[in-house]
Amino acid sequence: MTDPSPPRPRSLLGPLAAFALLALLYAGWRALPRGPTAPPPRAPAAPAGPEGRIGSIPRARFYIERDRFLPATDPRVVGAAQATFLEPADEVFGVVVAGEARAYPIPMLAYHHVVNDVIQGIPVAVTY
Amino acid sequence: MICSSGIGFDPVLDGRRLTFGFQGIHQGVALLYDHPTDSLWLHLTGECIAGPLAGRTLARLATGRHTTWADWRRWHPETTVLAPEARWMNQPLDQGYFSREAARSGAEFLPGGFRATIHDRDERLAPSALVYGVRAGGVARAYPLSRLAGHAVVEEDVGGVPVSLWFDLASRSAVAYDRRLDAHRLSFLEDAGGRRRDRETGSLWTLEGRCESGPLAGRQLRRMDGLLAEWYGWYAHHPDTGLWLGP
Repeated sequence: MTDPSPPRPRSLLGPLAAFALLALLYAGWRALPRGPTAPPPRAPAAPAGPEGRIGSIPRARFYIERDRFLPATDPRVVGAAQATFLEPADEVFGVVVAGEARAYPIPMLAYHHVVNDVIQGIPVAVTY
Repeated sequence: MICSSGIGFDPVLDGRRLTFGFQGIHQGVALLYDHPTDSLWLHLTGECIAGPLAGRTLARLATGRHTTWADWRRWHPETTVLAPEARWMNQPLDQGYFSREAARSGAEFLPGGFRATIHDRDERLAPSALVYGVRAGGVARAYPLSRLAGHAVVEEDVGGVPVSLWFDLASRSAVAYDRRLDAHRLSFLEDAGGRRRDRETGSLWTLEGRCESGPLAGRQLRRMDGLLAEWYGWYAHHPDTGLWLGP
């Protein structure tokens, strides 16, 4: 039987490492992408054209609020049998790309306004 | 509102995939920006109006169609479906996303500055009346869904193309095809069973433009460039549009 080792002097390293870990976790959490319900980032100014125009159109004919709606990008999809959230009469917008049909329920399109999608390896943008 | 128009685009330009975000509203219709160039795009036409890509136009997917889930699944039993966010997965869509009524009226989410952006108006139809718009040969033509009720087939020339426009009342889905197939020019009618046949061969055609039986079985009609939109949005982007108000 050996003697118990003598108590080691307390080091500041432990608390410091714990603090650094917490700070890292917090920074990581802050950097996570936000879902559509998160407050939108501050709206940067739209690119200004000459004499208060956007392109050739008077700026007064636009309402600018960047990211008021947040797109779904590379979203998850399910098969028809798993689409229990849909009723037969629900409206969808459908496309067929490289032989694959994909349906976009209208309430979800109205919510996101943009789906940046990939079907059969082919990029697709569905907008509403 | 915000025009009720779903559109599919090919977002690859010069070999590069663009992804889009919401920038604002113009003529009551979504204005989008792209990553990575921050150019600004009109949803209804796919035109880029400002930024490095100004002057370019995105190609629309010809297969896009508004319909009901039942109708879409009928013709595409193997379809995939955009999945709701996990927290809303197991409940009806209108519990998490907007209800159909809200999606239509915009009541829950339209910003106050929305209406002021609609600059070009036309009084022939109510602003929110749904139309199916067809474009060909530089010509635009609009078909109000309310007038299409009772007309399963409408045949007209649009921009020099012989068009057969089909409307399914149950799903309120409109779609337009080029009537030319090989050297033939087909014309269509609704038979006693409510199905579409061509007069020339008597073959039976689905709403998706595929011949399911008869001498032309397996053939596919070419889709016209068409989309569903509210009248105000269609008119503002096509002020020269023709308007079909009945045969």
